[in-house]
Amino acid sequence: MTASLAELRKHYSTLKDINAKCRTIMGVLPSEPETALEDVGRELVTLEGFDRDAKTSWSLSPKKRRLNKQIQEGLPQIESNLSRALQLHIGLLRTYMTELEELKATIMTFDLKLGRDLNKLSFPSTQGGFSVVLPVLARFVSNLEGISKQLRDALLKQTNDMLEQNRALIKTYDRFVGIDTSDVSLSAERESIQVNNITDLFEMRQTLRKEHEYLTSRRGEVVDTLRAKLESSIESTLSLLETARSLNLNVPMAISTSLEAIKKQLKDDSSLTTLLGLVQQYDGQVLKASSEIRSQILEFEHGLNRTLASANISNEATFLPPPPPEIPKDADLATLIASYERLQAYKTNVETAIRSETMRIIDDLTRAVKRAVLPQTKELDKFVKNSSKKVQKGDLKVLVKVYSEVAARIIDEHGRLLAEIRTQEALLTRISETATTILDKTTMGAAPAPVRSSDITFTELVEAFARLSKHVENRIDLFRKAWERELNALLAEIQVIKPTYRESFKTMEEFLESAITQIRASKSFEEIEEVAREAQGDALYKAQDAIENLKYRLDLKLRLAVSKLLGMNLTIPPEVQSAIQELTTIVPASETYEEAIRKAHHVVELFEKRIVGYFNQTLNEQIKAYSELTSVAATLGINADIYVKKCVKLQDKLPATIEELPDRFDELRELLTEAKLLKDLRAKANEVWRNLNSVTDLLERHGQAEIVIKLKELLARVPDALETEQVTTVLEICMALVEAQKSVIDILRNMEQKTAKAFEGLLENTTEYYSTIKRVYDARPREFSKIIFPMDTLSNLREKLETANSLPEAINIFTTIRDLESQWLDKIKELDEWHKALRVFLADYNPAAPKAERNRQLNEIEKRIRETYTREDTASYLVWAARELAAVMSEKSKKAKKK
Amino acid sequence: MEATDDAPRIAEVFAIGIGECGSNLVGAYLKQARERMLPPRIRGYLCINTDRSDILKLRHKYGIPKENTLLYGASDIGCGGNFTDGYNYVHDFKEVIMGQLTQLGFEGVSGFVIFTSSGGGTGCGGAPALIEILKERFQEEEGRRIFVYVFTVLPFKDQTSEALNTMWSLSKLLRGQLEDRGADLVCLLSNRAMLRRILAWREGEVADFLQRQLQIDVAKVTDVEGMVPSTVDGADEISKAQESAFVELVNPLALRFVEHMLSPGVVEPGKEVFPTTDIADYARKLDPIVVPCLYTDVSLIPTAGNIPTQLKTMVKYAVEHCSFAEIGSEPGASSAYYNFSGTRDYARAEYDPHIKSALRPYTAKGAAVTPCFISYEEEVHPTDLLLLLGLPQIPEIADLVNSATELVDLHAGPSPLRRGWFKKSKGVTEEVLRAAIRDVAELFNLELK
Repeated sequence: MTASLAELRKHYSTLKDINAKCRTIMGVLPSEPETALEDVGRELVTLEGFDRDAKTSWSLSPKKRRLNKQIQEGLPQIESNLSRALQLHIGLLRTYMTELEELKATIMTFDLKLGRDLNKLSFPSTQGGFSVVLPVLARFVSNLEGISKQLRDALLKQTNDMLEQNRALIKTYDRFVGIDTSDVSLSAERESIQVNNITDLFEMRQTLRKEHEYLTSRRGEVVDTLRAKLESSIESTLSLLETARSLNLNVPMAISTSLEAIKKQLKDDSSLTTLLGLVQQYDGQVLKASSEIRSQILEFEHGLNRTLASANISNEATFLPPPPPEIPKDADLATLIASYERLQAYKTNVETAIRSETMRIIDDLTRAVKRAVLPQTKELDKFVKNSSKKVQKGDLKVLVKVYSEVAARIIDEHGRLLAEIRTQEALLTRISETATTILDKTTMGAAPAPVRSSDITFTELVEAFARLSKHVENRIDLFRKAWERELNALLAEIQVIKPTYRESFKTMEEFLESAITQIRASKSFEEIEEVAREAQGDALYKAQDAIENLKYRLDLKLRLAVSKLLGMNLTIPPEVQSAIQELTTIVPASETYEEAIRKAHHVVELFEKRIVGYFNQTLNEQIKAYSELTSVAATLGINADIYVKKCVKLQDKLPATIEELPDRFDELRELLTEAKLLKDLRAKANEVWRNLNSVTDLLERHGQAEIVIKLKELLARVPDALETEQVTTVLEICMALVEAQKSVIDILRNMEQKTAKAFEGLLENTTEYYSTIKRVYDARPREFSKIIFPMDTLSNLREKLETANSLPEAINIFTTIRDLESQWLDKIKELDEWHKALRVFLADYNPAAPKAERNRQLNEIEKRIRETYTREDTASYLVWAARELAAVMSEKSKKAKKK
Repeated sequence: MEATDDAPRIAEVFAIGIGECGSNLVGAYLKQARERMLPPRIRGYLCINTDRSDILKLRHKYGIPKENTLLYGASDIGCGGNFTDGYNYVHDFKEVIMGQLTQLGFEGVSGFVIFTSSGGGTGCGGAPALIEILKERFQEEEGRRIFVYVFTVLPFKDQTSEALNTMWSLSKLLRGQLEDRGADLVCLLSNRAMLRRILAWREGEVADFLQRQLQIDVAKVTDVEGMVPSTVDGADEISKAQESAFVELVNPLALRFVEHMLSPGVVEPGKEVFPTTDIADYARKLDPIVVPCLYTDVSLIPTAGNIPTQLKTMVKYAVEHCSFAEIGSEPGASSAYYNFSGTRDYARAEYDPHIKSALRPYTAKGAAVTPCFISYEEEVHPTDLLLLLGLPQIPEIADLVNSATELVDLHAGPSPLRRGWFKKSKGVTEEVLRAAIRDVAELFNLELK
């Protein structure tokens, strides 16, 4: 019979309790019994839901019936599943019990009482329904749970104790000697043991025991090592403490004494525990020493920072070295001492840096002192020198103080210098604005860029100030020079006036020179300007006075000279009269200085060039004309040296002043009527007149009628011209005759050239062989002249005519040439006749034959010619001509071949 | 015109140019006479031709009046190298020709000079016929002796057809003499030789002329004579122009010879001829065929001494370098005639023995040499020597005989069609032509191949 839903719920609850206890005993259970139990629980909930619904439903309702039916149908399944879950739990418990049975002996050894309790516990019967089996099994499980719990707790305590002991040893060993943890892996790896399984616990207990034994076996080795180490550490620490003391660190001697005492306690038979106690003491002393040293380091550090702060120097200032790193909290003694050493070095570096920075500032200031650009240079120089001394010798405190003073000073100087720069810049601007009236911008040069107010070092500022000062100085100098030039220009305009006229301007010159000297001496810009402007203004009035004076003096001289010249019958042309008039009407009053000076120059120009210049020029021209005539007379063979010299002397006295002019004109008049010169000139004229008379016939014959007419006209003028007493007139006619004679010689030469050319043409027309005849002559001029015709005589005469100077000689040569030409023409006609024979003799000549053959032929031709003609000239000419023609033929033949 | 003592008498000679060559020679002669203002050597002239275009060209070129020209023949396009046609046309148009001559006043003349070429058709064939009708007209009808001189121009080198015509022409002219119906004297003028003379004397001018006319550079051509093409057998215009250019060069030279030859018969003021020489004398004293040698502007320098040597040199040059047909240095002439002209100081009769002596190397043994001295009173007059050598050895004739023979051989043979060429081209049989060649060869002692 199937159990009811309520009964099944009850059984299920009992099994669930058993399940919970099994979990306590065995830890995590396999999944199968767990799942089986959960299935039963889930099915029960479902059916219990149906049951609740059935109970709320109407008793006769189909739903209720259906629900009841479903319940009834589900109950066997639940029962079956519950049974399966029970069996699975029974199986679990049996297995566990079997394991315990196997450990029974071990358990008995471990805890006798618990062993006995376990022995008493026997596995209940599993036969019967749920109502039978479940309660018995529940009791059994409760008992088993009690025994198992006791056993496990005892085991856990023991194993954990062992574990703790082993770990303490491992820690100690590891600290002093080092240990391979693979040999004691369980102890090394586990901090505590929390295992439920009894078997596992027993195994662990066993392992821990073995590991303990191993550790114990190494104790002696550990003790030796620990002793040695401790001894070494003590010695090392003692040494460090000595070092600290040598660094002026105050370390109490008691610590060293204690350490010495610990060292003495170290014996060969000291136990590990003793040793560990000594280690602890040692650590305490070290800690004490460290604490002492650390506090002193901090004090040192704070002291340094305070000193820097007193001069407002941040320890992060760029010129300072970076501070040493902070000391770590767990720093050992050695680290602390090293840190202290670093701190000391840092302090030294800070000193060096501050000294260096201070020196840098001092250097900046020194440069400014050297440049002497600052107004308070002396005081600053003293300050710089003092500071410099202090810096050389002082400690950090002194250094910091000096630095503070110097830094403040340079800031102060910086400001003052900047203010001075601004003043200079303003002055520069003023000069530039003022100077533009006499200086152009290009000359002044570009203004320097304004000096920056910020972001500029003191040195740069000093340099900028120096440059600016130089610039200002240059500008003033330029300004001064410009004014100098300006006044010099005014002066120069006066100085170009000739010294003769400059006397009137002397006062003015002195005035301007004085102003220039004053400007040169002036240093200040304002002073230069004042002097210059004043001089410029006064120059105009002084110039007007000077012109007035000049005019008066010149007018006086002019009146005297003109009256003398007029007395010498010298006419004064209208342009000179107009210049005199203009001179008197010039008014000195002027608007500007330039105008006044122009007037002064105009006065001088009028007087000198247009008035005195005119007379000088007239005189000079007359002297020159006379001089040329006398020079020419000398070329005619007349001794004119004395007159030439007189002329030169007169010329040397030019230009004359207005006072001298009348005398010079008088001297020239005497020269123009020299009696001896007149006589010589007349004799020469007569001689040339005769020569020219003799040539007129010849010229007429050669068709020069026109020339003859002109010549006769000239000759007719001669007698009258020679009658006058004026040297110039006689000389002129004499020269005309000489020139005419020269021209006639030239005409004869031209006639000769033309006639020779025409004659050449006549020869060419007379014979067609003329070119060959010329070639023959050219090839043998001497033999030709000797045997054929005296051509050399003809050419010599032609050459002679080219150089002939005398007219009679030229006439003679000219007529001789004509005679020779006539003879040459006859000869040419004869040669023309002879030439015809060449055709005959050259008929068999082969120009293309080899040279030897040609020579043979030519020799044969020569032989035949000489046989045929007994006359030497005929035979010779024909032989020569044959050779010339043969040469031409050969040449042509060669050319034809080349083509 | 009646002659006076002061005015030069017109020679009793009439000139006839037949065919293109002959007419051109007459035309050129007239033009030259006009330009150089030479005394007239002829009484009248007529140019006859069977080709109209040639006649027109002639008139235009030399300014010849129409009445001095005559076109005759069956057509007006010439004979085309067929001498038989040329011969027949003259006979056929005998009346026309004689009529024209009559109009020109040829009655009473004592001689005719006929200019022709030996190689053409109209002149070559017409000249013998013309002589026949003239002899017939004067000797047979009037019973008056006249002398007919033929100046025949031999063809250029390598003109074979012209060579054959020349054979026929020479044979016909000489055979005519046997019947007293032929030429009294045949003067052979060789185009070839004359061209060579001109080239030797005036090389530059000739080259320029040919360059101008033919656009050829003669300096680069080695054989100028061989460049003259045959124009007998239907030549093209270029060939005609080429031949004409060369003929124009040689014609003036030929004419100077004619002028010198006729000179003794022309009376001129201040001119003396010793011994008196008539045109008939040449025919009487010389062999039927003569080759002239003309040396103009002779260089004789009496003042330079050694006259015999100078004259010897002159004669040697004349023969060897101035002949109008190549005769070599040993022509062995059967007869010789010379005209030596110049001023009285130069053309002196006492030079005759020296000249004869100088001629001896060039004449056959026993050959007669006849002199003629023509002296002028003028101070300046060129000295010229004209030599006429009768039947000299002429290598050029041998060339012509050979060329003609080759041409005949070429067309001869058993084939009547082939042989038809003779009749068609020359109007005669092969036998006639061979006989003509034989005649010439025998006359000049040449052996036929």
